[in-house]
Amino acid sequence: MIAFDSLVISIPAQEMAADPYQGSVFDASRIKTLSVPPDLKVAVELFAGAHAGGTPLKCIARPEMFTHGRAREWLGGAIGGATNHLALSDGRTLKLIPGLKNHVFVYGLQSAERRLALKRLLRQAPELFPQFASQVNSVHQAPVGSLPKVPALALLRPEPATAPMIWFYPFYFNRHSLEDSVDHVLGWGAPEAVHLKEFKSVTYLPLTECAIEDSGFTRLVAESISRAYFQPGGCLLIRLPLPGAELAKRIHGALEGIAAAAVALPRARAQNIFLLAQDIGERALMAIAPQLSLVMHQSVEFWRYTRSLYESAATVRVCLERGEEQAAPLKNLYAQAFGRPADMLTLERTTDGVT
Amino acid sequence: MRVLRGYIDSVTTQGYLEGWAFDTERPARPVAVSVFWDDMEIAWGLAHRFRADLMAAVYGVGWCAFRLRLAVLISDVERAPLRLLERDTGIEIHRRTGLSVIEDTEPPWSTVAENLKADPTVIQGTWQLKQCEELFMEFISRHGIEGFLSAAYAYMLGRPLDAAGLDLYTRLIRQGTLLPGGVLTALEQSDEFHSKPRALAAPSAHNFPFTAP
Amino acid sequence: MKLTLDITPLLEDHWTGIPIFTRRLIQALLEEGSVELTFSHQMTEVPRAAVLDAMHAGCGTVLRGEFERKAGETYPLIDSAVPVFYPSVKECPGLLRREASVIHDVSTLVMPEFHDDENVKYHMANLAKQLDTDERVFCVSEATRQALILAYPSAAAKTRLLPQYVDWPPSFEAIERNLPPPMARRYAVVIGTIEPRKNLELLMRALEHPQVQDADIQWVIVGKQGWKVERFIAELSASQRERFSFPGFITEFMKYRLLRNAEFLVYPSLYEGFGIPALEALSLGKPVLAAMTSSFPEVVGEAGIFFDPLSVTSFAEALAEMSEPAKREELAALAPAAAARYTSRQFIAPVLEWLAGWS
Repeated sequence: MIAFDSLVISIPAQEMAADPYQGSVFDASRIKTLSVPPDLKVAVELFAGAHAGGTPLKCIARPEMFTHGRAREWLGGAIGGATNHLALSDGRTLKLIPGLKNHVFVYGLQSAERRLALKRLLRQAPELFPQFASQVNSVHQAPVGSLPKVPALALLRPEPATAPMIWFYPFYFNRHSLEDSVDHVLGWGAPEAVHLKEFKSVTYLPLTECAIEDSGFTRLVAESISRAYFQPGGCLLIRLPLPGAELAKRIHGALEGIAAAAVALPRARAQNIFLLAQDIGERALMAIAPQLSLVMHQSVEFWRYTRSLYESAATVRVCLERGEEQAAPLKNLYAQAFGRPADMLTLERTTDGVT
Repeated sequence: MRVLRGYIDSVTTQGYLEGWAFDTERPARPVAVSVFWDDMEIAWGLAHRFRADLMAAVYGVGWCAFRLRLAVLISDVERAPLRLLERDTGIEIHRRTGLSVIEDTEPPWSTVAENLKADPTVIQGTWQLKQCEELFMEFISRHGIEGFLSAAYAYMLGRPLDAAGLDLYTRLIRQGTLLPGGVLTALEQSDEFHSKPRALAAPSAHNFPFTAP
Repeated sequence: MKLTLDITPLLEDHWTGIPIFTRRLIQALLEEGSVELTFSHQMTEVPRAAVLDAMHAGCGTVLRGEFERKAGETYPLIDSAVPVFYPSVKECPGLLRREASVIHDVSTLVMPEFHDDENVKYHMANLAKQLDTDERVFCVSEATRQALILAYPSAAAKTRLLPQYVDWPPSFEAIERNLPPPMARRYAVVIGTIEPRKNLELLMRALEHPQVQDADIQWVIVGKQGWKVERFIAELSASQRERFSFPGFITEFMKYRLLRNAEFLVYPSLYEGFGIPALEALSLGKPVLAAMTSSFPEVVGEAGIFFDPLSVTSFAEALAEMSEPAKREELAALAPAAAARYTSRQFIAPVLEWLAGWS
């Protein structure tokens, strides 16, 4: 875990489009009350926790406006004696502040569009990224052939918090109509209680936007579902993608990805396969750790869980995107994050499910 | 040979000297003028404004009137010997002693909209270009009919000349059926112009496309 | 000395920003007279007379129409031994031996959300290669230069400043001096358009602030209108609406007139590569109320007051200070000197230095 002395963070200002006039520099605590995407709020909270210093953590809305001359002096006055700058990036920009030690955290890479934007940016401005002293929870690098310097990896996790109530929606899939599928899932509502300890094995499979657009991964998910129907002793939990969207849209998105895999699935209400709107809390997962398998697409925010959970889980598997060239750095990242060697799969070689 | 013509007409109740001046060799180019009372310059500016009577009389192209703010009292100039000079060269254009004071008919402007409507660097309609035919013919002699039509489309419609327009208007100009100025009027009457009206530079403006750079 | 100048920016119908920059550059080089100038578009020669005609008319419609209409026409290739200057994006970087280009701002890199995807792609796709293949990278302000080398440090050594100048047609002063004041009430000109980056919304929100309400001033918003401005007008109360004018498109002369007679210029834009309207105001002796960002402090210098463009309170306080007659007079007195730093000779000096270094 890291702690930053004297930190200031910057955020992509377009995320504050609903409340743009907070001032260019403002207290980070205000983010909680603003209409910004959930993953940005999580990211800010992550760094509020890491901020070591008596003063409240400050946010800069648009550091790019203040990189030079009197504008930079003004910024210096506004941020006090901050010496570290953490750029929260959505993948479309990477912002440095001259005169501060710059670090970067790219959030929201569950979105395929953002991942593509980051790849494009690293290619188009290859000298930008190597100037960061560290990158948090990632191992991005500029394209092969450019500067060899890669920002050091810094791992940061939130404190485990009590998760809100989780609703378990029974899985149902009608290949002829996704709308009918969604209606059924919502119509049945969630079962009253699901006692995970009663299952011999529990597989937790969080989905992201990137994951459901990755045909290799969705095939894996679909095959896992197909098997789970005929293995009643095991439980398959699928966290829905697209946080912040309406539940129906999220279910539809997940089913659409699964449908694209063209794997035959029983058209039946599952008794042991559930769709979840949120992450299961760490404590709930720890309670079933010996029987828990975590299966994550590379785009999942692995850092939301602690090392203890990963160390305790029965298996932890990370599925890499097709064509992923960073296997070695990722291996190192996950090994540090999980406290154990990660089981990594390049998806196009995977033909069997996990339960 | 270059000949400057001009006249100091009157002084208005709001303290403006009015008159006109133009260069016979370059009738569309506004002349910068000064008015002197003995050795004192009491007004200066540009003879660039439109006056229908000047256009009718073929003085310049009709865009050669001036209206100059007086730096002295109206009563001073009523009987003073005044000289109208070309400002850059000092060439005398007109002199007179004794000016009539006329009622000022220019309305005061108090809103931006009124100002825009009275922008002296744009025309109110192509009818104010009636005496520019010679100018257009000179343009054609330098750039050809296609060059003129190209400039006309850009001026009136803000877009390049199209093949149909080139064909039609070239034929009409060559036949003598339509004068070059008539092309501008025809374009002004088009639906396209009405749907996207534009501010059209006056002949005396720095960016009138039909005068030589 | 010889130079080929790419005139692609001049092919726009309506000239703002980069086309006017290009026009001024050509004008200054022609006036200086030591450079044998040829013009090009897509590596072929463009007749000088056609370019001069376009500059006279102040639009590129005729020039562009020539290229579009003359199907099958071929044009002579430019001389590859002559240095070529691109006033903006180099569409085919590295084709010729000696190239230079201009960076107007890096907003497509640092603020892509304010541009459509096509524009971002157009500017960014070849930028690294453009910089790599330039002998000189001309930046329109020190702020732009610093922002560029922050992202591309390897280009630092070849960057030079190329800050432009203001050139009002000489006739404007002669016309304006004989017109009555445009408005009976005191007013400020606001550079504000539908583009979110121009930050007109700050003024809209500031209307609720007591210090802004109390300011005895009319607001004349200059810039391209659209649905946002119409919505803004619709949301104003009757008394607020009386304080605003939205002239929409205005001629160059009207812009001159409005600025010349204004109390000051308000420029709330979040980010500019240079900010020519600020220089235009300064050249007419007007102080500027501008955002404390990007190139504004550099261009406005001491002749202005600055504010945080994301803070209504900061804007209101700055406005209150600008509303003090003594302060405004003090700043107005500094405006001409601030403007005088930018001349046509200084503008082309770095270009001449580049050419002379290889002659």
